[in-house]
Amino acid sequence: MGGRSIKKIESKYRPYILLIPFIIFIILMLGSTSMIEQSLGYNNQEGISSITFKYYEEIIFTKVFLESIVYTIYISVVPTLISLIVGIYMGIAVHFNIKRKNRLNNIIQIPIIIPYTVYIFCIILILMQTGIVSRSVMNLNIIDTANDFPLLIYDKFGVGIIMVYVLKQVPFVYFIIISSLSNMDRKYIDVALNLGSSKIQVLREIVLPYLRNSIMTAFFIVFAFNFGSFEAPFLLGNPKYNTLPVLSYKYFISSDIDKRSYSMVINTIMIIAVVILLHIYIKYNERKNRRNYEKR
Amino acid sequence: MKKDKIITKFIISLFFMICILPLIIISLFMFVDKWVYPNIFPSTYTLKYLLSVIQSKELPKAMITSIIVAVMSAVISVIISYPTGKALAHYNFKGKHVISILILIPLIVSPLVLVSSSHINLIKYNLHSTLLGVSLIHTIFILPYTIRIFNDRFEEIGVEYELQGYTLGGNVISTFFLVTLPLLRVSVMLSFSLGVIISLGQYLTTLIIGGGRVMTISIILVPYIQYSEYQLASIYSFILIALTIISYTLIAKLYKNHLEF
Amino acid sequence: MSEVKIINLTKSIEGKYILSNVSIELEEGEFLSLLGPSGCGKTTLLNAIAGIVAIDSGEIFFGNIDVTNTPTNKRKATIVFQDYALFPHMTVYDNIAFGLKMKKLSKEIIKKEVMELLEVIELSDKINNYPKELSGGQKQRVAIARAIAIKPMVLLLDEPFSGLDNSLKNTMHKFIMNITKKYSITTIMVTHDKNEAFKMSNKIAIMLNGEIKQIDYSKDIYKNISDIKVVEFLEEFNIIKGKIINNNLVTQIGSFEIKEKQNKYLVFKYDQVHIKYSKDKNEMVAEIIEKYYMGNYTTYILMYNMERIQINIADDKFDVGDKVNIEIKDYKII
Repeated sequence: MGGRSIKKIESKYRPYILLIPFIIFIILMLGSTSMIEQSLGYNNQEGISSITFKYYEEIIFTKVFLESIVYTIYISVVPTLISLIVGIYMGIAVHFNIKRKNRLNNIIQIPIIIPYTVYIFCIILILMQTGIVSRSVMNLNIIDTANDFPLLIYDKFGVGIIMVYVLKQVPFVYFIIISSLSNMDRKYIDVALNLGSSKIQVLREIVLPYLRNSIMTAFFIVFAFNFGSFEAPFLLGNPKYNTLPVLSYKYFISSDIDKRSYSMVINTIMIIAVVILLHIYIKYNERKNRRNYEKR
Repeated sequence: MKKDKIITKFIISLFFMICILPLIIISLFMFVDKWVYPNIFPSTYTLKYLLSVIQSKELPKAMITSIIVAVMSAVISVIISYPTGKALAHYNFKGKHVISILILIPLIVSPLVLVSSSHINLIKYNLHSTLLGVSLIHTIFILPYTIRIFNDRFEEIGVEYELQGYTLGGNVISTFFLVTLPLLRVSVMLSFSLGVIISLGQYLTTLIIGGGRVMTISIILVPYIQYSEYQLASIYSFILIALTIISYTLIAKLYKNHLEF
Repeated sequence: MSEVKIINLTKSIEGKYILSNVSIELEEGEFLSLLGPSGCGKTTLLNAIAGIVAIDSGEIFFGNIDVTNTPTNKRKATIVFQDYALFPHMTVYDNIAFGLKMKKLSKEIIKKEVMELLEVIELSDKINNYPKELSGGQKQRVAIARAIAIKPMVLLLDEPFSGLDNSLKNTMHKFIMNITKKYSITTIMVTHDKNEAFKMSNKIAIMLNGEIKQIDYSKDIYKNISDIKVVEFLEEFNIIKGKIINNNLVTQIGSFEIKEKQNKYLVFKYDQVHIKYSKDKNEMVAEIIEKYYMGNYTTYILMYNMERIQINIADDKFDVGDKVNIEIKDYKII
């Protein structure tokens, strides 16, 4: 994962001893294949002991499932891109233009600390048809009644959901960028300027390539988080447009055992997809040469 | 140049205000009685909601539950992350690749997936609907961050310090206490605070594993949001934020006092 | 018209003077070494000339253009840092081409210039390699090629040889001397090694504590020495303090006529002293108290009238305890 200290300790058993707590924990918590079993229709407690793929067949090609995948990707990608662009801009702007960063950084940490549920609540208050924005707009005589205010939450474009994600993730990206920039040796910028670059050229040729790894990591983490997130789409989403986690949940709480199996199918598919993607990501990372712009 | 700076400062102030905005709105809503549309400001204020919450029996119970679960989650996370981070940083071993992937999974997979997987096990060990059970499920989501913290720190420190301790005659235990632990104090505190914050914010996991019996502040909060009980939701949001920020500041203060490296 | 003119540069940080009234004048194509101990401000001076660091007062001219307030990317003074700072994510080709690319020249022109430089620095085979695949000497050649690719008016080198071993140093000395001569580039080099300074430059500026104490053609440095601090810095001289009595400087070694009232010291180089075995027991004699064999020469420490004198001579036959007569061939009164 890192590259600073290449030297390792030579030991056969030591690392495994160190890993014991982690392994015990994993086995304790996740050491059951019940999720996969249930997706295959196998359920010990209910006395069913046959494996079947019927649940997979029944759900994978339904409109509900496929639309859900598309919607989930949409709801994950859009806020990720917005957060990246804004967060990177803010990070670079603050790093190079503001001298006393401490107080600013402390305030910007607030959205990261405050739980999602609170932000979801705030967005409801702000964006609902009788919410704060609607009232402001009404007072400016732009609309006549509350119903004229566009539906920004519980809507099919997921505006409210996207806003919650953006509000929380811009500061996150900002911090990744800022901490990366603070490790960059100023010398490279001086050299580039000295050789005749304009500020924009420096940004394009030196700063952004340096940030490439951090940006990729930020994209990956934010996108993945949005993809698997539950609370925001659940509380702010339109009942007809479900993301995969919400769909899974709706099946999960159903009293119909068949439906619960659908939930497990969705979960199993999600986790397999994730593991494959992670595998590709790590392999790709290992093969890339690490560029060192860090201070010595 | 000057114009550049003014624009930057303006955008940053905007950013700044947006960060504080939720806090302001919530603080306002706690006291709202009647707020007729389309008034920008509430018509009347009241303390009745606030009083009802303060006097309720649920509040102290929920707060204590939240705190206990958060602290337990944080402690368990630190205990697991420390050796795991060290193993990943200082050793190369078979299966390192697999472990790295396992650690990243909670970050990206839907919480529901991991909860479903753990659900059965926790029931089997009689941990369902217990504080410990909820703490354990929270830990799953804390570990990716805290293991990373320790991993990075161990890499930064390098293996030399410890080897130095051994060659100078120390054994495993004394080296741990005299050499390794002091260097890691910061990481321990950082991980602990992160654990507390993540745990306080958990909802779905607590709901499913807690089975309705473990009542944290988040569990009380969400139904109020769903059913548009705005004042009560604001009050509980405020409490949640307060708990989170207090924990964070407390630990940040401790961190500053022990600032070494 | 001089190529580089620096007038009364001053810079202080938190009340402390880093540069005090520094003035330098150079003609086109000249090679100046800034010689001084660590921390005397020479790197700051170089950075100020490059435009990377701001100054408090003073002026800088390149040709007859006032560049004092010009930002670094518009000045035509390129700097090569001590650790070369080659862009790690760019190949050798891209590094050298960087300045030309910033000027938005066409691809063909850039290719022509870069290929030519690659041949001069003899690294045409490394054209697609990355900096971390290069040795120290190779990196330095690339860094210098990068700096001169845009044909700057002034080339600034900050202790370019500090990371190299001795044989490599000699090769690089020659390389830099050749390339700056070939392209007729006015060069200022910072170094703390006086041998290097004398070998490579035609002018030397000795800098101590933020001030230029002496600036002369290399061949005139020793001739024109007049500041005792410079003498101390050069570490090749015996310094004997004396008293002024009746227009003479009276020291334990002898009396000498003074030129100015402020003269206080008798100064002579270690290798300007001859010794021979003392035959006459009555003459003033010096005793050898220490001996160090240095390979090419031998250093003897003599005690003469309670003054410690160091001499470096080729003859290693003398021993500790020997009594000798000394003869000073060349000296200065400062």
